Amino acid sequence: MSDFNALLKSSFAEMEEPADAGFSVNVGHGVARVERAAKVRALTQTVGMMAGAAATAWGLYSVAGVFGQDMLVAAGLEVSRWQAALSSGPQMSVAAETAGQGLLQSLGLGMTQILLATGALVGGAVAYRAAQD
Amino acid sequence: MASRGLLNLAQATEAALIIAAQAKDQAAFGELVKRRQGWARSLLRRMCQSHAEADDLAQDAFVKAWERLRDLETPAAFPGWFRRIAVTTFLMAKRRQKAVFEEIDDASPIASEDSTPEAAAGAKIDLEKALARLSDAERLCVTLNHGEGLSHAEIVEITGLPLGTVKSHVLRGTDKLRRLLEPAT
Repeated sequence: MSDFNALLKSSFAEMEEPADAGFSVNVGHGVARVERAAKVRALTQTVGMMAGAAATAWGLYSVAGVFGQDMLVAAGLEVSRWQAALSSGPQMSVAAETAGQGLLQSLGLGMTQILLATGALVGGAVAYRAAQD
Repeated sequence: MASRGLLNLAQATEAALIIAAQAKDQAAFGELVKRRQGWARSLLRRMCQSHAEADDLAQDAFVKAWERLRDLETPAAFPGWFRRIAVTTFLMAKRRQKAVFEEIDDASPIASEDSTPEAAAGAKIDLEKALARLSDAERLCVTLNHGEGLSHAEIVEITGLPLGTVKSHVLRGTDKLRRLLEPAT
């Protein structure tokens, strides 16, 4: 190592190291600010998640209220049809077709609820995502 | 905060302070800042041209360190880990200013013009002034190489600059410092 490099290293080593209480206090304020922001972020996230969960629950409830009975009936008839197809032939398929038409009719009549429920689900997802961000 | 009662901050080791700070003990982190501020501010003052800017960046670096302290795997790695944060903070600030690689070619001597042995002492005093006359990139590389004792490869890892660029900045920066600090013979 050249003399100059040695001089340079020793000069670096001997440079003044500043220290004062004001600096620590300022860092402390910065840290406190960061912590406050983190708390606000966590609170926003919780509220967003609760809103999302509530909207999703409401959407599911709406769907279940409008179509739940028809769906259960259709599902029951579908099971019956399969069972009948396995045992006795095609006579149950007429009943299943009628149930399917009923479900379609209900879907048509309940379009408003479908749109509302979808909107709620999407809104909930957006609220959750916004809270995450 | 639970660790506060068990921890006498003034007498605690740095490792204990770091572990407590990782558990979100702000008082322990405050003590860590007290102990490390001299080194951190000095490091950034060598990289920056103004003390005020360096102190602002040092504060930013400490706040970032607080936010990321859980990423620190072992307390013993704190100096290197924090140095990386400080350098990144410096580079980001320079990128915001769009002034990282401007060249300063003024290399006229600034040291006292006598060539006596006392000139060496003068050179130490003038190092800060001489550093201010290097480009940002040269100052960064020279500081990390000569001041922090990092190898070229380690500087590459911290700064993300290509190896050839780092070598060139160290060489040119050191040469400029030599011309600035050593009196003309």
